[in-house]
Order: sequence, then C-alpha cells, then structure tokens
Amino acid sequence: MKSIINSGRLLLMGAVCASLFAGCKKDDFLEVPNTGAISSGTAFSTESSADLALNDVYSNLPDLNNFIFEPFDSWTDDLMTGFNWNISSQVARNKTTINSNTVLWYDWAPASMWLDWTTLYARVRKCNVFIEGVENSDLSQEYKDKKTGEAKVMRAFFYHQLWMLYGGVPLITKPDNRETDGDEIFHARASFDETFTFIQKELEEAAALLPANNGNDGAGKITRGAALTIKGWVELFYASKHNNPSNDLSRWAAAAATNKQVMQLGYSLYPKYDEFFFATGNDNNEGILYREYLTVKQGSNIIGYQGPNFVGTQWLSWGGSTPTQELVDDYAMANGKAITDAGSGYDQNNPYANREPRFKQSILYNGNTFNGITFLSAVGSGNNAIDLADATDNTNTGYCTKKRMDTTINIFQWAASAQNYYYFRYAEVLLNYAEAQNEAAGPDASVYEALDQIRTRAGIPTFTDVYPGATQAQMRELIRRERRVELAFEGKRYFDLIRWELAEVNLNKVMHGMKITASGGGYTYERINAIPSGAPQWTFDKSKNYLLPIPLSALGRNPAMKEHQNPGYN
Amino acid sequence: MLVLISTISWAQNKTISGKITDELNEPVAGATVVVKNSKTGTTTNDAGEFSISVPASAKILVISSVGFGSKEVTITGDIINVTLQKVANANLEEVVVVGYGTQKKTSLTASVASIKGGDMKSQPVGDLTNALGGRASGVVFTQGSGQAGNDASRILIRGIGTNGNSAPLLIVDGVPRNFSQLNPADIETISVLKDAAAVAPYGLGGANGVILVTTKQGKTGRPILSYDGYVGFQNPTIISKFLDAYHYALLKNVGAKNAGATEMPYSEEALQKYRDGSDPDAYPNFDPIGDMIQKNTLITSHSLTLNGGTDIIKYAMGLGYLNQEGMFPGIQFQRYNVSANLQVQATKTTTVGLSLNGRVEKRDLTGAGYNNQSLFENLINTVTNSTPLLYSNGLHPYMYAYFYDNPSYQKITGNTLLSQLSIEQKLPVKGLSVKFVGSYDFNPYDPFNTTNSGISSFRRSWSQPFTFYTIDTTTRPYTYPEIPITTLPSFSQEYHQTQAFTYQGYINYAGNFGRSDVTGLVVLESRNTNSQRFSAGRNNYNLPIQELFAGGSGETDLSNDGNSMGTKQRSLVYRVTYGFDNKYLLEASGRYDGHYYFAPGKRFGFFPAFSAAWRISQEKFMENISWLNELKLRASWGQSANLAGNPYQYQTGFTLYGNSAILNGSQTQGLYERAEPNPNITWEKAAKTDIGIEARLWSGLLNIEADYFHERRANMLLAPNVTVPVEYGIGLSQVNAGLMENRGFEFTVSSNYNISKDLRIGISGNFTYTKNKMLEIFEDPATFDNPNLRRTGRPYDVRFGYQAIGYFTQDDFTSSGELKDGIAKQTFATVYPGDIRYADISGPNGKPDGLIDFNDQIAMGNPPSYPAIIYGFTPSISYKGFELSLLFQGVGQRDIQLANSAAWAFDNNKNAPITVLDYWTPENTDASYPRMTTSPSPNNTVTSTFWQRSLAYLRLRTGMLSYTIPGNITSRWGMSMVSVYLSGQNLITWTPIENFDPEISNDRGWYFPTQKAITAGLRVQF
Repeated sequence: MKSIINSGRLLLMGAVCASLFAGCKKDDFLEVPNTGAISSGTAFSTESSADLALNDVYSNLPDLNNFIFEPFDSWTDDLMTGFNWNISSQVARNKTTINSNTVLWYDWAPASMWLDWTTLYARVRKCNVFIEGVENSDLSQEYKDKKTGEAKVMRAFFYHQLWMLYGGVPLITKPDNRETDGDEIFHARASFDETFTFIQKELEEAAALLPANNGNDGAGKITRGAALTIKGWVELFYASKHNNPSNDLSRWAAAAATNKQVMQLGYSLYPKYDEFFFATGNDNNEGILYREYLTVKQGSNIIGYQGPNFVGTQWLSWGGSTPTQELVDDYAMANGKAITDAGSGYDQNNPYANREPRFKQSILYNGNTFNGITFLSAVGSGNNAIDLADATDNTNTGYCTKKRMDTTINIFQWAASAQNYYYFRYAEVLLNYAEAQNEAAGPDASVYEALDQIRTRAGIPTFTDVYPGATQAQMRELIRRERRVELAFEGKRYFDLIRWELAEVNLNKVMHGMKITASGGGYTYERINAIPSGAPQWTFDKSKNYLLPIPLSALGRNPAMKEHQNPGYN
Repeated sequence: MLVLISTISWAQNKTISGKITDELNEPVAGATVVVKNSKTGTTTNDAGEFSISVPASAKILVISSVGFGSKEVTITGDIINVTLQKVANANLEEVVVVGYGTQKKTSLTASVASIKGGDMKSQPVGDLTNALGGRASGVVFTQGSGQAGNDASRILIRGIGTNGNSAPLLIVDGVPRNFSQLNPADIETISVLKDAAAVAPYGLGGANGVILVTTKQGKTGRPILSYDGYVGFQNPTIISKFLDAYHYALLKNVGAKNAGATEMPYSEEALQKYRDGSDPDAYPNFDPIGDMIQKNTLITSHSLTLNGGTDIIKYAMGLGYLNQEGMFPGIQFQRYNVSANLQVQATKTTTVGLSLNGRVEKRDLTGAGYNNQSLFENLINTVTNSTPLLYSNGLHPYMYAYFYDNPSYQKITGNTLLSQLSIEQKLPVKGLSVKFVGSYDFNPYDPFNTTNSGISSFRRSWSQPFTFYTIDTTTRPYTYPEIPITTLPSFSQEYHQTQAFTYQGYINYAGNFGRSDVTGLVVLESRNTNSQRFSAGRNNYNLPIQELFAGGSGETDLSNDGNSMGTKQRSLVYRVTYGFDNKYLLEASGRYDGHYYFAPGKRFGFFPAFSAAWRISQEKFMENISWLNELKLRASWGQSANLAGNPYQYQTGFTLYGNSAILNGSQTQGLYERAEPNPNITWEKAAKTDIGIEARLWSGLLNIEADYFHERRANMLLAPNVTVPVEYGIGLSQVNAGLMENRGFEFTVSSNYNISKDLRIGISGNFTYTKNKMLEIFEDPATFDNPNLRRTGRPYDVRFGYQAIGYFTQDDFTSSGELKDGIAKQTFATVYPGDIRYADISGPNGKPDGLIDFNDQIAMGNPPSYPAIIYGFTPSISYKGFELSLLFQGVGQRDIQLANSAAWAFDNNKNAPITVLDYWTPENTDASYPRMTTSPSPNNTVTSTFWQRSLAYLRLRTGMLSYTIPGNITSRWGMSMVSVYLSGQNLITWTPIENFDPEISNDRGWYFPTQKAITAGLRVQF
C-alpha cells in the first residue's frame, strides 16, 4: 500500500515537471540577449548606422603603414630586406602551389596584408553587403547614390589589386548566399579583358555618383578624383607592353584622357616633397586616395618596421627596408641630369655630393642625417654599419630608407605618427598622364608640362630645361626613371616592372650595395654584390611569374575554378 | 527547570579518553565511539584518539569504523584503549560521490574514479590540477606552464573526443565551479565521472567527463584543530641552453662560409675575445635564460582546519595561505582561502546546511606585455653576444634593466566567494525526502580572462619606461650612453565580475522491499550567470601617481571599454536504481537540459543513460571461493552532450566595434557582417559505451578495476568553409557535421601488504590507452583526394609533413653541383650536401614523380595535443612512524614538431639551441643538425620527421618522506599528533627530449618550464 502512495507521488511530481517544461514549449525563458550584435535590418535603418558599415569597408583599405616588416617594394629592384628571412616574393614565386597549409603570416608577411586572394575577396564581400544593404533600405536616394559610389570605388580598388596580381578573376557584385543562390555561388574566372572592362565601367559609374575633389564630407573619403585616378591607372596598366603586345594606341589614349580628367579636378602638388609624407603634411591637395591615422591610438608605426636599425646607439627597427645601389643611381644630380649624362658632374669617389634634394630626403646614405643624428653605414662605423656577411638585421647595401619615416614625432613611441598612407596621389596622375600621352601622341608640350611640375616641386631643373626635344623613346626612359625616383617605396615599382615587361630582366640580376671604408679622413667607395653568394636576390620566371599562383584552396573548393590555375603553376 | 536538569546532567558526566588501534597497533582515524543506546558519540582523530563526555550511567561504548568490525567495551575506567579487527568485506560500505548524490561503491554501475583529498595534502603545488596527475586512471593532467599563478594543467578525461571544447565539467559541492584554487586541506574527495552512466546527469555538460569535488563536512566528535605548513624552494625542471657567444660567432662564420661569403661576420680576434671573455662589454656572452631567471624561489603554505560537531551541529572550517614566488622578479602568486561548512539538525527531520568558501588570489606579473610566452620569446630571441648581463662598470643593459630595474607591473586580484544554503526535509513516507539548494557564487570563473588562469576581479597595470644603457664601441675608451626615456608612463585598470545563481530542488527516495532495493532521484535545476567587464586607462603620466585621475587628459590619453554577457540553463535530472538481492543492479539516469546557446525551439535536449552490474561474487556458486571478496561486472550505455563552440551562432546580424577607419582625423565605429548563421546549430552528441570489471582479492591484497570504453561523438562542430568557394568572402557558422570515435581501455591495480607489525608496503597503479579517429570531417579536395594526406579516418590533430631520410652527401651531386639523375628534386630551396633529404612518397598521379612537394607529405607521429598513453603508480612504505610515499606519473605517444628558436640555428637572426652544435660537415655526416647556414635553409625547416620529438616521459611527480612522533610523546605536549615531512614535486624526469621539459607547450620553446620543488613541512593536530 505504501509503495503505491509513493509511486503516486512520484508520478505527480513527474507530471508537475513535465507540465513545467511543456508549458514553456517556446523556450523563450532561455533567451539571453546577445549584447555584441545587431540585426541586419537595424544596420541599414538609419544613415548614421549604415555609415558604420561603410566605415568598416574604409578600414579594410590595406593598412600599409603598419605590420609591414618587409615592404612590397622588396619584391622589386628598389629594395632588399635587411633581415635574412625568406623574402615573401621568393616564397610566392617559388611555390608551385600555395596550399591552405602555407603559413601565410610567416612566409607571406606583407602578402597577408593585401596580396592574398582570400583577404581580397573578403573585402569585396564587405562592399557587396554594403551596396545591397543600402539598396534595399529606405534611406534617401541622395544618400544611396553617394555612399554606393564610395563603396563601388573601393570594390573596384580591391578588384584592380586582384586583377594586377592574378589576372582575370571571378566577378562577384552581390553577397552570395548559400541558401538562395545554390550553385551560383561557384563563380568562374572572367578573362583578363573582361575584368578590366568591369573595373573600368564600375569606376565610370561611380565617378558619376560622387562629388569632385571639393565638396567631400570628410578627409580620407572617396571622391570622384579617386574613382578617375584608379580608372586612369588601370587603363595605363592595360595599355602597357605586357598587356598590350600589339601596342594598340587607343588604349594609351584612353589612359591619357582619364588622367587628364583628374588633372582638371583642381589637385596640386604639396610644396615640400619630404613633408608631404609626414603627419605635418596631412593637410594637402595632393592626396587622392589615402588612409588616415590617429597618433598613438591608431597611429602609423612604419618607422618602427622600416626605419634604420639604430638611431645613434638606440635601437629603432628591424631594418626591413634597404634601398639598392640600382635605385640610388637613378636619382638625378642637383643640376637635373642623370649621373650617366654627359656633364652631370657625378663623382664616383664622392657619389652622394651634388645629388638632387629627393635623394637626401628619401635615402639614408653614409653621412645623411636621421632625426638629427648622422647615419653611418661605412664598415666598422658602429651600429648601422653595413652587414657584408648577411649575418644581422643591418643593411646589406649600405642604405636605409628615409622617405615616409616621420621624424616630426617621437620616433621611439609606438605608432606615434598620424601620417597618411597614400594609395594614389596627384604626382602619380601627372606621371601616368605623361607616360600615356608620350606613348599615344609622343612627347608633346603637355607631357613636358606634367613632368615639369614634379621636378619643380622636387627643386631641380625641369625636363624642359634639361631635356628639351627628347624623342619618344628618350622620353619613355626619362619618365621611367623619374617615376622610379618620385614614387620610390610607395608600392608602385613592382607593377611598373610587370607592365613594362621588365620584371624578367631586372628581377634576375644581382643587386648591389656600396661598401664604404674610412681612409685617411675620407672614404673610399666600392660597389659590391649585396648578397654574399653572388646570386640574384630573387629569380623571376617569365613563363609564369607575371601572375601569381591562385591558392589551391580557391581551386579546390570551386569546381568552376578547378582547371583554371594560372599558366605555369600546378 | 531545563537549565537545572542540564546542569545536573553535566555534573553527572564523566570524561573518557583513549586510543583506537588496529591489529598492527596503527591508529584508526575517524572511528566512531558511541555510548550504547544513546546519541552521545565522537570520532577519533588522525592519531586514533578520542575523548568523550558520557553520562555517569553509561555502561558500554560501541566502537566502529569503516573496514573494521564493530566492538563493544564495558566502561571500566577513564582510559579505554581498543584494538579493532579488520573485516574481509571492509569496503562494502565505502561511499562514492556521484552526480547529484552518493552511492555505495558496491552498488555502483558506472565508471567512477575517486581520489581522496588527503592523498595530495602537503604537495607543493599552487594549482590543485597539478596535484592530481597519475592518481586516477582515465584522466590526464598536462601542465603546460610553470608560471606561478598561471600553471593550471589542462585536463582531459579518456583522451580527446572532439575538435571543439574538450574540457571536462568541473563541479564543486554539486554546483559548476572551478576547483583548482581551493585550499587542498578543504578537499574531502574528488570523483572523476567517466562513462555515460556517470555523466548522464550532467546532460549538455557531461560528454567530456565530469570532475566532482566535495569539500569537507563536519563530523561528530570533539573539535580537532589541525595545522599543516611547509616551506621550500622551486627551480625549473630544466633550463634550456642556447649557444654561447663564442659558438654563436663561430657557427655564424661557418654559415657564412658555406654560403660562399668571403667576408666573415666575425674576425679571428672577435672569436678569441668571445672565447676568453677578455673584453666582456664589447664581446659579451649572455645565457638568455640561465642568467635571467631567479633560482631557489620560495614556496610557502600554511593551512589551519577545525572539524567537529555534535548531533545537532557539525562544522568544518579552514584557513589557507599560499605564497609562490615566480621565476622572474615581479612574478608572484599569493592565495588566501577561508571556508566554513555548517550542518544543523534543525528538527528531527530537517537538516540545514550552509557553506561558504572564499578566496583571494593575487597574481603579480612582470610589466605590461612580457608575460607567458612572450617573456621566453624575448629571452630566447636575444642574441647571445648582443648584450652582457651587466656592463663591467655595473650599468644595466636592456634585458637586465627590464627585469631587475623596471617599475612597471601588472597586479591582478581575484576575489571569489562560493556560497550555498541547503535545506533537506525528510517526509513522512519512509525513505522520501526533499532538498532545496540555493547557491550564489561571486566570481566562480572569469569569462573575460583568457590569458591567465584564475579569477581577475581587478587588474592594475602600470607601464613605465625605464632607463638602460648601451655601449658605443667606436669610442676609446668605450662609452656607455644612457638610453633616454622618450615616453611617459601609462596606467590602466580593469574590473571583472561574474555572478552565478544556481537553484536545485531534489526529490530523493530510497526504499527496500524484501530483496529489492529501489532508489529514485529527481532534480530540477536552474542556473543563470551574468558577467560584466569595465576597463579604463590613461597615458602620459607626468607624475608617478598610479591612479586613473593622475594621467594625461588629452583625447588620445583616455580610453575606456566595457561589456557584459549572461547565460541561462534549465534542467531536469533523474536517476532510478533497482537492485535485486544486492546482486543484480540496474540503473537509469539522464537529464532533460535546456540552454540559451541555441535558436528558439532548439534549446532542449534529452540525454539518457542505462547501466547494469552483476556482482558475481554474491552468487551462491562463488561462496566457496574465499580469496575472492568481490567480483563485479558492469556495463553502461548512454548519451550526453557538449557545448563545443560559441553561443549565438544561429543569429544573423552585424557586430559593432570601436576602432574602425580614421576618417576626417577621428576614430570611427564600424559594423561588420557576422559569420553566416546556422539556425539549426545544436550540441555535440556523445554515445558512450563502457564495460568494466571490478575485483577484490585476498581481503584487499589485490584490487583490480578495468574498463573498456568506446565513444562516438556525433554532431561535432566544424567550420563548413570548404563547402563554399574561397571567393564567398565570409566565414560560416559552424555546423554539426563531424563524427569522431574515441576508444580505449584503462585499468587500476592496488595492493596493500603488512609485512610485519611495523612495516607495511602498498602500491597502486593505473594505465590508460586511448585511440581516436576522425570519421567524418570537412576536408579540402586537395587533401581528401590524396590517401597520404587525407585527414578523414586519422586521429585528431595528427601532423603531416615530409619523411626525412638523412642528409644529402657529396655523392648525390654531379661535379657541377647539380643533383644527379634519379634523385628526387626538392622544391623548397636549392640543396647542398648536408641538407635534409626527403622521401619521394608520391606525386600528382599517386606515384613517386621525382619531385618532393606537397604530394609527398605523410601523416607522421602522434598528435601533439594529447598523449595516447597515460599511467601512474604510487608505491609507499611505512615503518613505525616513518612513511615514504611516491607518485610516479608518465605519458606516452605524444610528439611535438620543434621549430624556430627551439630547433634551428639563427632563425630570423636569433640565437640557436645548443643542440645545433652537432651540425653536418663532410667529416661529421651522422650529425643531428644539417649543414650550418647563416639563416635556416627553407629546405631544412619544412615540417618533417626530422624535427619530430617524442614527449613521452616518466616523472617522479611527487615524493614525501614523513615521520610521526610517537603519540605518547606528543600527548605530553598537548598535541594529539605531530608529524614532520620532506616533500617534493617533479623531482626526477626521464624523457627522450633534449633541452626542454617534456610538458613543453610551445614548439618554439616559448614557455615557462614546470617547477621542481623541494619543501619541508610540519603537521600538528590538537
């Protein structure tokens, strides 16, 4: 009898419990708000909220003033790395396959910042999400036009990086969705030409939506000038020898015309070349597309990565940025002539005398100053002495980088500079125009006029003064040299070597440095191979290296890509 | 009137004392001494002594103890000494703590291992998880760090069952709480729940196993006050060695020469100076770790406990203090524990319990930014000839100044209070009772503190640049410029708080119907937690006032941050057991569990388990086998689950963050799209099977317990990224798509033998083997399509790399330096004699293709994250008052791939481990390191069997030698027991790995090696 009562009670209890849970079938009582997130609807409900999503796209423009131990220019004949890692360019080119197991951070230090396929497509998606979100929102048409224009320019920017590195790529213009899109999420590669046309058209459309240079609502934002500048650059890239073997002159003309359009927007060169790259030069009318920084909080630490190893006896950086003798030789004399020109006055035994101002502003050579302290790289001169055995982080060439090293702030404080990083600036537009116009129509007055602006700002005699009446071929060489010097260490050289089809020449050479030895109160100078073994720093296989290999994971996961690796890689 | 009566009764009382011993005259602690037919009683202390006040009318005392027969003695005088006889079925009554209750060991149908709190008392460790390894089968404790205060072991029960969160659930006194910083003296028992039957009551939290810790409760008897304290020294088990300055320079020259350089990095003169130390400032020699660490650091512990009670009220209290100095100045760990457990018999049928357990943990770290790995990273990466420890004139270079002259600090304080009130009411129905437990915990865990173990309630970080000196060797004499301080100090403060509310309602039933025993248990449990974090900081302190208000007030000087989160869980637990004739045992248990992690409508799950046992030894036909005291077969099957990933993966939306692009000169906020949601995401589901056997032979001379176990972990969370193209551009929430199998066996054997009255020996040992296999995972076609590289079907975390087959020799090359035909080309770098040669395993077509590339990788060695084999054994011997007890513990089948600064010379221009000295030359072709280069050749650094090292080890984890002063002496001092001891931790290690501790947690050697401690201590009982 007792047991019956017991089990009855247990049953009752069970029933109570069951109803307790059954009554709460919706299990809402387990809801805990997710304090870290908002819904998609909220994100695009107001302009101020949508702006935050666009800010995120802006922050995905590559942060090239930070985390760059080895700058992209070390893929070129302008720079070598002071430290003796496997340099990323070599890793990238040597890999027959870049698989998902490749340690990207270590092997690909700068690559992981922006060269990486996966990263670039993640950025493209952010643009797509924003463009679609705004389009489906109830925000004003005026807002939609302007902000869509900005997002489209950034999307084109990411695509132009993919295009230059990998060739034709899948063109994705809206955020893919597994559920609704089915197999359409597997995009095939567009051709090189199709990708170009896409970028060109996108920028054309965006330019129409955007305000011109003046009237932008905040520095650092995208304007019509940025749209047209990127457009002018991709057109130039498309017109250049490697991509235009038949030398279709209309391509050059198109590039010249677009760059001309930018020249009519009111940009001008900042008066001081060196200061332009410092925080004190942030307020200028030369920057066209750039990333801003905020001192200490989100500052630039480029000096801590790429400055000289030491300032006096105090350690500053790993010294990842050491210019080659080849670059040094391309700086003109103060009289505007190249060192190889007759009457240049160049003295092999005193090679740094009477050089143009940009040389002193850009290159740390033995005897130049940095942060008020004399920089010495001569053999046995102390902390920054040339590292002939490639045994330390010190320079192997006898040079360090000075340009863009902002010494107007406390250089020993981490990320103290608010200096901008310029993806595009007006000087490049002038050079782009001069090059395109020279190819399309020859060295006419407008070519001279564009180049003279650059030389005038640099503080040396103009092309009109020094090289009047140059032939088209002569002008081509002059422009190339001027471009190399003016845009040194700005990440431009690699794509110039690619498009001029010079990579296979210049990147299979032995690079040089300057061994300087003190002798009797003066110095003796000796050009030396910058790598002990005498081998080139890198090799460039012209049969395949003009494009990078597409990561194996990208090929493996996408049936539409599977058989479409770039030629030469497998 | 009442007062009067009680006074009278007191007056009529008399005090009887005595000592209870066993046949070998050893004291029997915890024996019950009761006046027959009354409730007056007490228990003996550790020395077997008791003292009891009895009514004058009392005639007979009943003395009993677990494992002994009970004995009645007539009261004849004031002192009564009794000898108890051991009984054969001594552990019949032994009770084991299981989920939401206790069970008699004999009627247990689940796989549960128990560790007694007393086993690890006086063990010189800061974190309790470091005292448990080797003590129980099936559970491995891996101590990856020896940093004081941050050295908790990683715990895995029965291997690893998932690629996600593999940590077991930790429970203290019935409530989810971490136990690692409890006072060891407060611990009564630790139960490790292993099979489905044992973990089913924990539902969503049980799949990785459960560890139940029970703290000490008061026992009826006179107050027993105990003190246990020790002090001793700690040193690293190993100090990793790197090249000295001379060999560094010498090998750099060798490397340069091998690269064809004509200029040597170091001249003969420099080499000579490094070698003879004649110019130590310009040619210094620095032993990065050996010179910097503090040796013989102190570890001190004191603990005081009080235990006693009457029939009405029982109490247990504890006070503990631990102080552990760190390997570097500034690093220190201090802990203060206080605990109180009260149990009150409020009415005849009502018991009320209150337990409070609080602690303060103080962790001092070195100045901001140099903790854990990065500290050793910086030391190891310091080139050996770049700086002396001190300049000859006594000035401090950077490294020395950093550690020994640096005003920066990080001080972390953790305040924890675990509190719990319980009321148990017996109901009028026999065997039926209800219980309510309410628990409020303040900071039982810290969801915000991912870098340091333990609670971080407050964190204060002061970062002040310090002065140091360098040398200018271009001047004569040398000058030592002071490096000026270029920035001002900064300070930050952080507050963390977590509150956990747990409510449990129990219905308990135990009944007996003839030969049938029935028990039932239902628990309703509700648990909520909430956590908050707030931090603020300032830069640019003009004055050294280490307070927030005193910092700079410019816009970029200020920062603050904060966030909060919460959790909810609602559950119903049940357990029903049926026993027939104490022979056939059946049990069903489980949990209906709901959790906030998942989408509405997908939050509740049901996790049942069933188990059975057959006590063969109780059968009639076994009656005559007298040497077999107990033989039990048991089996269990059930389901449990695991929360493997993060919450809210079902939600779509955007995440807000604060440091987006700088626009127009100002910081902005940003919104980014969260990983694409998975609305169907749910828990991992484990199906566990266990078959076990338990035997006790020759009255405990031999005890055996053995289990075979098997688990299938389904619904394992995997990132399905390979199912969409890389161009998809966004991460996907995890999906429940993985399947893993984990199986193995474990056994425990123990024996105690009394050789003579004074001499006893005992040993227990355990062994566990687990094997794991990933049955279904997402995999890139690049690996899946290649049988050598396929991850599916292989153990979790197995490593892939190349098969090293020795070095290239001169004979492998033509006279022009090209590899001869027929030798596979290696694609990593140009190879030379002395470079590592790899086997040509396969190619794109599945056949060797003369090219060493991706296709030639194979699965190699054992996974680095967990050992497949674990074992431990604990021999002990005692003679009269002396006792020596040892704990040996070991693991097998775990490998690491050493890399970078732990293995290679001059990687990234850093130092080289001492092991590179045996490098390849044409004369030394069986070297342990390839040819010397100024930086490692990419050919020689790819992941390969060459760098694989076994992390197997056998360790004398703990040893203790104690002497107990005879009771007749100590009683004269007014103490019932005095014992002195020497104790040690990590005393001896046998391992094949060179230059590093086998519990190394970082493949570059960036880790705090575990500590070897030797202490002397004292135990006193009043």
